[in-house]
Amino acid sequence: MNSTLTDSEFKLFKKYIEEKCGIDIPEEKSYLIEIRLSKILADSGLRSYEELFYDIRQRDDKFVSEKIIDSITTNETLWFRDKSPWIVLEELMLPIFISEIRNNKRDKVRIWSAASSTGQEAYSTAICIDNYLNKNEIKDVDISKFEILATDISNEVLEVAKNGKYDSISIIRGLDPNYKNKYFDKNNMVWQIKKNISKIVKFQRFNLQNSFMLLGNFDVIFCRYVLIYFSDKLRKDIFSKISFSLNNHGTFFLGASEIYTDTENYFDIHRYKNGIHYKRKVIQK
Amino acid sequence: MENYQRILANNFLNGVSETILTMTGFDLDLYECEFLEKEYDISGIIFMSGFKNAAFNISISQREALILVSYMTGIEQDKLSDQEITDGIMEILNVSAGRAKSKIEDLEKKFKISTPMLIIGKELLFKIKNNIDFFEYRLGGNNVNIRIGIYYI
Amino acid sequence: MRLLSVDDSMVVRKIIKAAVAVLDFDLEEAENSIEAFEILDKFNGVIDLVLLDWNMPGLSGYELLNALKKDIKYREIPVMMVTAESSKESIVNAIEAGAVNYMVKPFTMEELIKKIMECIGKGEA
Repeated sequence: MNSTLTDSEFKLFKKYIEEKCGIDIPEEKSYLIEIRLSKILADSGLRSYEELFYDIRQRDDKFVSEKIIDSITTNETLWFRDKSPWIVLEELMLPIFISEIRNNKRDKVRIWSAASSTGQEAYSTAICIDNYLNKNEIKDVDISKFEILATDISNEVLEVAKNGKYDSISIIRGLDPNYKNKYFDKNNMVWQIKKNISKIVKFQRFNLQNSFMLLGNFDVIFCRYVLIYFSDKLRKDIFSKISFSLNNHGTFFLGASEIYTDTENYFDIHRYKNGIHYKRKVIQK
Repeated sequence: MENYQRILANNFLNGVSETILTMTGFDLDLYECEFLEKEYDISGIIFMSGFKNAAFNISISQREALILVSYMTGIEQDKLSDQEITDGIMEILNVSAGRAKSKIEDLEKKFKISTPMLIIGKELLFKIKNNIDFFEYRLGGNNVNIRIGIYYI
Repeated sequence: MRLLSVDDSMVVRKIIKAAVAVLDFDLEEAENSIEAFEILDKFNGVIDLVLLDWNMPGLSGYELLNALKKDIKYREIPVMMVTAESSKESIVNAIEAGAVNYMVKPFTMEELIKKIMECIGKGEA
């Protein structure tokens, strides 16, 4: 087996992955590709990276391409990362949702965490809603009126997210100590999210390259810290699909440090207390 | 030659801030260093030999080391042992230097790094020889300040 | 499941232990290769994954990996390197020597947990 990956072979793969998966591989993550390729080569029985390249290209293997996306896009997800989406949710959106539910103008509120990783974003949202209902002593609107769908391309992180168990290191990243005790049960070294929070969150495997049609429409979509790895073309495609999946007046959140020049083609940009959120563009007739 | 000194220094700097961000969640800002002669309680050093010989240093106060290692391990500050604190700082130094080394090696320059060493005391002064090439910076924010130095021998 | 972390840093072993606890697995800890062999012998090779640092006093992680792969008793135990050593050459060398995965330090808890699950075949489609 000739398993020295030369620079030119690596560039060949990098270009193919960028075209095929819509992923721009940042320099600091290129080692992840090397690990994947070394493993795939070892498992394939092929003799060289060159053979592997032609083999993958010829078979147009979706599994390989998803594995590559998966390995590049695993991000740390802090509790209440950036804070501002939950301020917008609590101060601008929840009062309206609740009044609409009370007035029978809506039955449910649907929220999508589109690159949920190990679930902190989805659970933070559920905690935010529960805390709002408690704080304002709202008894006539139940938390079950809120549905949170959390998706990710990786089966492994979804498994962790579903279990709702967190280690003592992840639990302190961004989480208010009061929330820690109120919403988690501690068992030895492990913090388990409480049932009343986890019951409104559903986890499902999903590749953002696919059509969003079957997921239904949403009032709020979080798609944060994942588009940074995608090519311009794939990102534009996802913006377009998100804008179609949003209900009227639906809101979309990107990460605080994610600034793209083309968002305004798809969304109206709103600013609130140091944060930016996006609304489905209202087409003027 | 000059160029490699700068690249290596940047790799180490990026290594330290990346390591601290990933391992503790602290996103610190980089400043040109202006206080070589300030006292620190913990100074770590690691040597690199090869195409260029260099010494990498990070220095930090005991109190700030406590904060960092607590976030790194999920162990509350008052429950951390001295050994855990020094081990944590040593690991930050080791991983940062390892990252710098690996990045330079991808440019086909071979390097070896030593084991990290720590000097621990109270308000220790860090001194260097005159007329050597060096880069010094401060990483700061969130109540944590770390002095970083790269010295060419 | 029982995992073994071989790393001279106590803090790294604690971080790995925290991740492993989330998965409801047990973790054995070794500071160096000698201790690693002691633990492997103690459990008669019934270890589901070894997480191996590269630069350690005594036998390096890479040398230990090679030794394990030559050992008829232990060659089947999956090994993942967990190291700041991230040059292309090192990664390729380790995979060639039989490592099933490679984790570059520094890592986030998400990455660590995900890679452990990949290695033991949990969550794979």
